[in-house]
Amino acid sequence: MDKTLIAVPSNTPGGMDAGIGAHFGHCDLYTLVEVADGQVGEVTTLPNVPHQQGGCMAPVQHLANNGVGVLIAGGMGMRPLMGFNQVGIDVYFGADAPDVRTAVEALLAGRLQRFTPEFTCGGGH
Amino acid sequence: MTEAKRIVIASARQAALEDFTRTLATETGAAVHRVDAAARVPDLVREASPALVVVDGVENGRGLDKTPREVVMDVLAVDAMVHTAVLSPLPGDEFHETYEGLGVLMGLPLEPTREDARKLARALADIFAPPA
Repeated sequence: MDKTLIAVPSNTPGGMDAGIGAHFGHCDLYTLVEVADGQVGEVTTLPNVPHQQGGCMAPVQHLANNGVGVLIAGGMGMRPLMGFNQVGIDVYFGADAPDVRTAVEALLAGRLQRFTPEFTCGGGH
Repeated sequence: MTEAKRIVIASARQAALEDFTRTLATETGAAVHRVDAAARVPDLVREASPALVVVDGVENGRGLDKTPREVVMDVLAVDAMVHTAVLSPLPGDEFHETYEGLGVLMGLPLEPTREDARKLARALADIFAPPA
């Protein structure tokens, strides 16, 4: 894997040991993990943006504007998933991971599934 | 509102919605594009790049040739950044369940009033407002 920035919706205060936010748009913040050649580099945090009804695309654009290439999420709706696909952010399903570290390690080991419509709130149907 | 220059009204009964549409155009300053067939919505979204598509969910033979949920999905398939509103007879809980995950900006009654148009315009303006 080339150098990329992974975002994980997290509980305060964020970081590798933080719990994962159940719904990406409503999380406290995002833990941003820089990965190069399969190795974890710098870890930072990014505050979330307000998520109003109908404003669910604000977090999508927020992450895209901050250079995120991959998102590990536990839950989201169909529209933001389509938005992430549209802006080129790959989304993986990470609901089973207890913390950011476990989720990122699972991603790097190839154990996470792509976030498909079946995982979305409403199921996409 | 500076970004929402175009709004699409997808309905087979445009005349019945004229008051609502005219008020929405006035309140938003947007150009309104009308389409009366669901099949033409995706192309119009591609061409016009609207900020909002209002989907008429009326049934009983007066509606579009797809369900409003299908039309919303068609809009998102072209551009997930486009906002939608749906004219719907569904009560609150049913509306939420039907459109869960699709990020519909607002549900409105099947006979929307000028005040409904103003409410929708305000909601759209809030989304496009610069961050505090």
